[in-house]
Amino acid sequence: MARMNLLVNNKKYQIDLTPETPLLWVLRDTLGLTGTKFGCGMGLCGACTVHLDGDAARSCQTSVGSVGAKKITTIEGLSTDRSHPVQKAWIAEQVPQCGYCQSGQIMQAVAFLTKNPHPTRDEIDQAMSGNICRCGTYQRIRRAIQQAATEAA
Amino acid sequence: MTATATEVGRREFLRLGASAGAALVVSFYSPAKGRAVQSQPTQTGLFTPNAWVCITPDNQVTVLVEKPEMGQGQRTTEAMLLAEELDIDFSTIRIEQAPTIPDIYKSLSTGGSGGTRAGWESVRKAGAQARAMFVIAAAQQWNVDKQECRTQNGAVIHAPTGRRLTYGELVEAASKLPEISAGAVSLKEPKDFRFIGKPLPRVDTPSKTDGSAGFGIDVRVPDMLYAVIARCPHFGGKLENFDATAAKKISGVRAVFPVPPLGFLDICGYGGRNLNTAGGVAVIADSTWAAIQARKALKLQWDKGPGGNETTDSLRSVLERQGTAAPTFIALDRGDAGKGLDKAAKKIEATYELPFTAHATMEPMNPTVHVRDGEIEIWSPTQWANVIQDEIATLCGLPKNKVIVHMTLSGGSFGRRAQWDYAAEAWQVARQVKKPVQLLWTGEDDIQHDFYREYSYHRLLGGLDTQGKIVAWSHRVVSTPIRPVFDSPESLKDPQHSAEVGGADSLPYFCPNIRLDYSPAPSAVPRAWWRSVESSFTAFAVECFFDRPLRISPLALKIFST
Repeated sequence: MARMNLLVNNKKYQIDLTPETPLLWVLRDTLGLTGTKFGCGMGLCGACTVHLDGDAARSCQTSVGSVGAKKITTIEGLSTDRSHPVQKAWIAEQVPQCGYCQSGQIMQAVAFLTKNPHPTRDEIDQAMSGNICRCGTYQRIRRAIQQAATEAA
Repeated sequence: MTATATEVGRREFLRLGASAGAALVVSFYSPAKGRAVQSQPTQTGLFTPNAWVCITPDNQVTVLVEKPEMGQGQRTTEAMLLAEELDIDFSTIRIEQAPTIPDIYKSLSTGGSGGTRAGWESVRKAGAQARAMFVIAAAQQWNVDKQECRTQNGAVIHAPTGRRLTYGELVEAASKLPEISAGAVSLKEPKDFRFIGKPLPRVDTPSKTDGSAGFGIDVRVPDMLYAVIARCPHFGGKLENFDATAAKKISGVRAVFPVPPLGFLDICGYGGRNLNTAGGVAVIADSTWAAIQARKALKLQWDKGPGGNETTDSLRSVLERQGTAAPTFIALDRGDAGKGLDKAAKKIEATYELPFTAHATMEPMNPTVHVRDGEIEIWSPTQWANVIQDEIATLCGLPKNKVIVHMTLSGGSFGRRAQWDYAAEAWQVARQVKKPVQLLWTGEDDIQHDFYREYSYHRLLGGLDTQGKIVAWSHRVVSTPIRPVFDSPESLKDPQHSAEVGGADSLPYFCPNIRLDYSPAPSAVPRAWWRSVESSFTAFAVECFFDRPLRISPLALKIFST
């Protein structure tokens, strides 16, 4: 067990856990931030994607001890009112079906667009290829990212 | 999280109701008046003309959705059906999942793509009934003939004078009116539809973009614990021995104990109840991660059981043998396929084989169960809330109304959550813990212990004439059948009730001589319905056969056949 300070969605938390605990379970079970989803637990599906200092990270493969002072952002911290351009595009394009993978999809897309604000279709597909959607909403995911990129331009 | 707040709110309400005994039923449902559901019992001034809709003075319309939402859009569909007849602004509707009270809600399950069909009339009538009552209430208030009144977007309008009252303003008056029977209201003509048949935004999209949508895995109940089970890796086997010394040393672990398998498949003969759980060792902890870590630290010894020698190779040899054995039943016998094949200018044979397939939902199984004195509360994604209630009640000997089931959003289902094994397992765990427990299946658990789509083998024979036209057709389906998993062995012999050859028995192509028959291959591997069910393998075999060895254009043949 170790005491650690975390900065999640601009809020400070102090936790006392074994440093090997994956960030995913700290968010979900300790901090009650259940928007980040458990999919495969092996970094294969992308449902658990969050940001560490703005970079997309699979929280199921990130030990909480490795986070340090990095700023953690989860789907709950993207905006308070779904006003982030990517969230708006997701709603406009009616992306989700069952919705379970979508927190991870959105977090992946936001981190990607920050680095590449004007992506090509292929770049989108490549950046999103690690995020699985069992409903198959991929076309709408791509359209939403294109729309968010256009609006931000 | 809003969804959880709703869930917990209902739980508190049910608890309050339960303490009042029979009053629980009355508070939800007054049979004399045909009115139901007060989701917020402390609030007054609700108009609940029926079990599906609740309207408050601030014009908030809540529709109670009976069926599970697992990505197919059921909540939106039911909101659409209700809004159409109630005549309200679609965007103002609020959704709540109906409680599992099958006496009121007859349709708490979905399967076979029947969701919209099931609610098509009943939900629209619920809307029409409420609308009719608002019209009467307004007409009485204005002292005019109700024929002079019409509705528009949540308000009643007196056409001759232009007076207008919103539904919210009419809630109090409408709630005092005698009930109008659902049979007495007429429904809109399709040409007048405003919402049905039009693209509308899904009601649950916003909550699925900000993390607030409440899936089963997101259920959080005060004092809850987290569990995983180390399940027997041999289908039909059981626990022989275990050592939890190392597991119990892991920080956060509360308990480790064995759970027996429940009604697993009778391997050699057919049979068994509609319940199969693998059994194993349960680990209960303060967090999911601690439980998963402790499970890894268990030392386990398994008895492989009677199915222990089954391998893919052994199963394949049985399938192949059954491909030419005497059939258990003949599903289709038109003309004379045998003679037709003999006389054909060209005879082509092909076999196709499709493996066991897991449902692989994105959201794994994750029931949360709280066993209290004389009462059980369950939160879970499910396709079949009323079956969970029925079966858990039977399993634990409680009356049905003491098994409270909350149906959450499902992160996909594809038939998997039409089973209830996960709820039964969670009950096994929770009754020993006496606290609410969320039993999580990891991805590996889901893939390793599913009720798989059956393994199937297809032997097809096609006879062509000199022009390459199909003149005879024979299809032998061999599979590890589903029916006997849930029914008697005899059930398989009745082609009327057999669900093993669906799709192949309604070939969309014309052929004068057709035979379709079936032969089973026993297996210890659990199986059940998988999305699109038998068609997913029968159509694969049939279409591949036409397309490749027969080289007949499926499109041309379909056009020819119609």
